[in-house]
Amino acid sequence: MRESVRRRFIVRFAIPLIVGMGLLVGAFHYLGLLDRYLNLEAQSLAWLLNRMGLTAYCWRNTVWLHPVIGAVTLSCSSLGSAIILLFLFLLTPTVPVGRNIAAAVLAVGLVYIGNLLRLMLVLIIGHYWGAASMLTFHDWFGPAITILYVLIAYWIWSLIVVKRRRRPYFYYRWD
Amino acid sequence: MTERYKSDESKVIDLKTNRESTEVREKLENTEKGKRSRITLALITVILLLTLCVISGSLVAFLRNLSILIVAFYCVYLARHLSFAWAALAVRWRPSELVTDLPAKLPRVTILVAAHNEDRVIERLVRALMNLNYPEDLREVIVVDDASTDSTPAILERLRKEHPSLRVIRRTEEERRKTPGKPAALNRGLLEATGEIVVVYDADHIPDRNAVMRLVMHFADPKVGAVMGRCKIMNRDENILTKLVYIDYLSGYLVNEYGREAFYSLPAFGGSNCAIRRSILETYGGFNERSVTEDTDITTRLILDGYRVVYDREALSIEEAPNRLTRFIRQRYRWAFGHQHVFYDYWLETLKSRHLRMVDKIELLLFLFLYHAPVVMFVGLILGFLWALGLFIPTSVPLAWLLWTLLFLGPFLEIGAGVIAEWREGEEPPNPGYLILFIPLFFISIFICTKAFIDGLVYPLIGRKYIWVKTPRREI
Repeated sequence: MRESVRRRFIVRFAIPLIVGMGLLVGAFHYLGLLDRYLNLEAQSLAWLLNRMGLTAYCWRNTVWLHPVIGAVTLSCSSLGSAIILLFLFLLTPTVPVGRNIAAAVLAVGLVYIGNLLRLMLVLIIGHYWGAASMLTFHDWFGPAITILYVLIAYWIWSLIVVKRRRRPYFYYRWD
Repeated sequence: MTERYKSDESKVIDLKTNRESTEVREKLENTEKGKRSRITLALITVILLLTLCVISGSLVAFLRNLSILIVAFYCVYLARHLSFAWAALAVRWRPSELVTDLPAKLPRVTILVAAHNEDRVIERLVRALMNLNYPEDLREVIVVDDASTDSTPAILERLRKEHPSLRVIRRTEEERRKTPGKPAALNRGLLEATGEIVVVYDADHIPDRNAVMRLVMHFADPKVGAVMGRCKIMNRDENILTKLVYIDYLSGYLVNEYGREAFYSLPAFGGSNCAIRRSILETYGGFNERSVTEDTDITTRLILDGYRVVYDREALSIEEAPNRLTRFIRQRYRWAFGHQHVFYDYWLETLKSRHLRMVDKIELLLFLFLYHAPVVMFVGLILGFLWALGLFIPTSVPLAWLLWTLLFLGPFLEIGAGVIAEWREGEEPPNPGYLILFIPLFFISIFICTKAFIDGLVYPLIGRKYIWVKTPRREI
């Protein structure tokens, strides 16, 4: 069993994962997609803040919301979590392709929105309570929010991927 | 087929004599071997740290390089977690690949139960064992009452009258004081065992009617030395902790154990709902009484001796989860302490093994090193705090990001895969929202494993010995 499983793991998971990741990282790094992605996140952030009635300006990956300026960097971005979630579909090859892709895309979308909300909170705190509060919130509460939205995205992903055939919890209880 | 189960009279050794000789041998050999193995490990660790210091040149550079090493370490474990998660979700369970067929002649089986103050649970276990789907004339049940002070002896006496095939052995308080712990109690039962296969159950278990039959089936293959079944938690909905332990067991049995079986055929032999050939146990002088995780000890010895350990996830048994944090901590501390010491005892032999291929050696070492991973995580967290306080800056921000991601990603992947695998099987799933509560549980695990690690270093120096701590039960 183990030989065939190892081979299948390499062919169907490890190689597609490494090649896919390599292509994505290469595309983001060499084709300038990274800057575009960061700019897109910054623009979305500014748009969201403006919709909330706050005056925010965006220039490239930087958002200005008086009196603070925030830059969306790689570590601030949702890109890492999105890539990890995107490749989750490789874990479930037995699920129909359409459902698998839809689940991955939805999870990535949720991560994008979740991160946007986190960044928005960071800037709003900076807007009302100043840069020091903003940094404290960003450094100490930011990771907790990240974990929360990644888990929610993962939860939604599993909801779509898994076929639900419920049996009562104690179905195997014997007397 | 029949020949396989025929006891080879010429090889049968009197267990008492064998145990005594093994004890002497262990004192002479094992301690020497163990000492050599531990000293070598300590030397290698010191040399590695000194080399890192010399290469780094300064404290800050040392911390940076250490963080790189931790990231590399977690990358290895992430690959392992990832492969197991993939196996759990992508590889269908095909028992036909493991089990040939039912043996033509079933072997005689001895079911051993060690019981110390188990009056809340022992009756239901004995009744379940008496109700097993296994020929009555081919099974014997031996319960070793390990100097219980509650009503366990009275319950066992009543059950013995009800079921004449039940055998009850009582260890005195003096015997218990002399050799405490489950392995010693099991070894006492082993002296009376007549079955070719020994099946072990903890007192809080309730095995499925077919569990023993399924475990025994695999011994049709003469290479199989031991078989492990699947354990599930029966009191999942009692409180938040039992829910988390339930999810933890899903990842343990549906992802980790299954992954080890599917990828390497190296699953672990657990302490309950498991079977082993008596002849092997006799050769080993019974269960290792020096170890507080005798199951991991046996697993390693079996694998190093070239036997196959099989995992059958359809050999099901349900058990109680600790329902209080203190009980949980005590149980996990014992697991961590014992597991870490098995690594110290056998890492060198694993590397030297002639039965294993390199990939299997790496997997076995990773498995044995598992309870050190939270200790490494502890170092990673300290680096994280130093970074937050501005005392240390990692080489690059992506590296720090990677460090934080890797600390939690691997375990989360495994736990999540366990929940999904359970779900896919059609079980009513636990709410995946509980996954978030694993973050505090990880921190508790870090604390437990780090304490076990430090105690393991300090105890030999101050002449203290860690003694088996039993997890208290409650009737459900």
